[in-house]
Amino acid sequence: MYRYGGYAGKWLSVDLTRGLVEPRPLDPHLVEDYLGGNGIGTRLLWERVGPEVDPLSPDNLLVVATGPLCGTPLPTSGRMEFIAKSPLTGIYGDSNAGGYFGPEVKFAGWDYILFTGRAPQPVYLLIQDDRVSLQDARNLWGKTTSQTEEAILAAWGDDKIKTATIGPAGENLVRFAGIQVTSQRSAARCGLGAVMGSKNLKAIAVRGHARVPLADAGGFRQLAREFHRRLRENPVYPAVHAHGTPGIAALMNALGRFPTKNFQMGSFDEIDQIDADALTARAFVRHMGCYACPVACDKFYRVPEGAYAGTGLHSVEYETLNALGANILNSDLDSLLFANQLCDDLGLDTISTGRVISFAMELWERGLLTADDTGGLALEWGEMESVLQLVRAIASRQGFGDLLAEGVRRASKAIGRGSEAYAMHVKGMEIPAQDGRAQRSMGLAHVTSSRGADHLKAFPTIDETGYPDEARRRYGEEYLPELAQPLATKYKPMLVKDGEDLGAVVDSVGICKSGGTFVLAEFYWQDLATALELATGMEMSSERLKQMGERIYNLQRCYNAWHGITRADDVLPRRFLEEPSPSGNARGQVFDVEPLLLEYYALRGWDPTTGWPTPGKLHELGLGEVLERLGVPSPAESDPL
Amino acid sequence: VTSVVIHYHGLLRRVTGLAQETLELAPGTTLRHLLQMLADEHEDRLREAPLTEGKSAWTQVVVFRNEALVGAEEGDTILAEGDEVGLFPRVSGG
Repeated sequence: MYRYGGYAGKWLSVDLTRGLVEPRPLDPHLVEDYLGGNGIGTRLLWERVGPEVDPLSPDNLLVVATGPLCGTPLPTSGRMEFIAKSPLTGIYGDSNAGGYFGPEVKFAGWDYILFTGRAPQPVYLLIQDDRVSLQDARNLWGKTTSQTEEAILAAWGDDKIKTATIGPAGENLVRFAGIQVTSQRSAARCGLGAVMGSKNLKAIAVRGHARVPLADAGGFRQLAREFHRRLRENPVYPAVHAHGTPGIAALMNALGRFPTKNFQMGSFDEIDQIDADALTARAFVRHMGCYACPVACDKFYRVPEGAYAGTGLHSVEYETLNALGANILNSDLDSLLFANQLCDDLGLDTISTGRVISFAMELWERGLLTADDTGGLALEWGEMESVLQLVRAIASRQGFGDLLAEGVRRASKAIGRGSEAYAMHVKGMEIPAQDGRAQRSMGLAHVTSSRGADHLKAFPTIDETGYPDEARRRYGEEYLPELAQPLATKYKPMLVKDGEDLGAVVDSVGICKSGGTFVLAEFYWQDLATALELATGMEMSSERLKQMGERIYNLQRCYNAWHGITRADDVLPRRFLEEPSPSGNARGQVFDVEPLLLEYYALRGWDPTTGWPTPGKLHELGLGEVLERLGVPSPAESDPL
Repeated sequence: VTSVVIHYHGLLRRVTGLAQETLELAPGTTLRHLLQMLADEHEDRLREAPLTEGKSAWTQVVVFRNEALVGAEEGDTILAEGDEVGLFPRVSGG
């Protein structure tokens, strides 16, 4: 057994240019400082991919990483990470997926896979325990994600193989192409599917038979049973189990936090056509769970009849109901589900896809785009025939779709005419389905996320709808009521910082944010420290774990600083400051992130002028060596675009 | 009396079988009183839903009054004629 339980003790080096696959021993110092998953990927990116590297060049890395809790009996331990420099943002990028792929990598005996170079022709990596090989994928190139998965399983006669695949969007280097992780889950954000495409890597297929070793197997299993019980008794469990993330759509709509018409509004009048009740009544087939998860927020849905009859898919998420629904004023659930399935099959992030389309629709509405620009396509709000054509055109980079395939930041620069005002992004990443006008902490989180606009780094759920019990338990009575109020600003920088550090650990150990740590808000620092100590045998405490989370998050910030990111990039689109929300609980609200950002920098120990970690903070985190590199280039000399 | 409309959402709608109902309340009824009344009235049908198990209502449901979110600290708010109260099962996540 490796020095620490929870780890396989080895990783795979895959040099695609030379076609070399080599096993390597896991560096114990790396896991002692960075745990796994997100942490290891961040460190590898920092060490090997500098500002001179084009994200779509062979010199970018793709790290496919699990963590020490992934594949164990602990509930929600099915998560894994993809990490690379993002072709969408030009800075740090990662994407996380649940399901069964991550555990299978562990069962095969690998902690992470590091891809470098570019294969001379399309390949996929086949892992069968210790037997690892690159396989010819020329016959798979051009296929959808589901066709690719099906072909690989059929080729090896093993329906228990787990795959991570790209579709045509990744092959065509769409900057927000995702990675489909089996047919069940997606690692959609940051365009890491395009990184796979740029490497001629069509898929990763894995089958393993080992168990994850545990330092204290008896103690860990007892803890796992207790964690399962706590999840089932959590007050949020019934609603999350019943509906998954779609269950929050109607509530967010009432809060005015359901972006509608490209963030022109925060509520959708026809929410009852696309909310969880409508979805369940129309298309629910059965509950689905990820590995070792009692929450089972995933469902399988099928459209029973009509023009889109037969559309069948997993993982219909809140984000997609928004992006391909309210965001583009589409209240037709069947076409929404079909568009969702189309994105999954073509390998597109539904969030960015929805936002580039709503961006184009707003430009059309304002007369900034005409049929001459769109190749004759009419981009009226809610016109789903046009939307479906556009989704296909984006994935194939045909016509107007080729421009939108660049993401809203690049597209708006190309279009000009004042269109930048309607490009809803932070650092090049399209904003997901939250709104700082309706929830202050989320607005701050969009700005401070290390991968561009994102809710999942900080994932402030405690004030989303008011979690007074969790706020009291985690932080103390003295923080109430403001900490649990979505429109209050007090204490929110603390909530965001704590969430980011906790999230960095969660994404590094291989468990779920939706399952136990944020949405159900059941497990916190000490719970994770206890689980890690039993699993690995490392001496662990809340304080040590907090420092690890802080180290990982600061290194991500340093990576971005190395790429020229400064305080000037920590901004929201002006719409949030200048256009009061007309909707729900947020009616009349605007959001000025600046005061919260200054407080956040102070809490982080970051320089309020540059937005960079201070030397004192970096030394405190054992990152003193970072300083020298940050001296060159200076922020003014580098542009992530 | 004070007439108030209650809107049920999500799981609450499913287990009560009601999208909405209008209640005639005694003058001076507070939001906290109302939630306790609903928990008592629907106890059987809400057996598996959030308003039961003797827990504080605000740890179990999300409450709106006339489109505005209402926290537990505002539980003593007196309901007015024509008020609309929205009740959601407590959940978060995206």
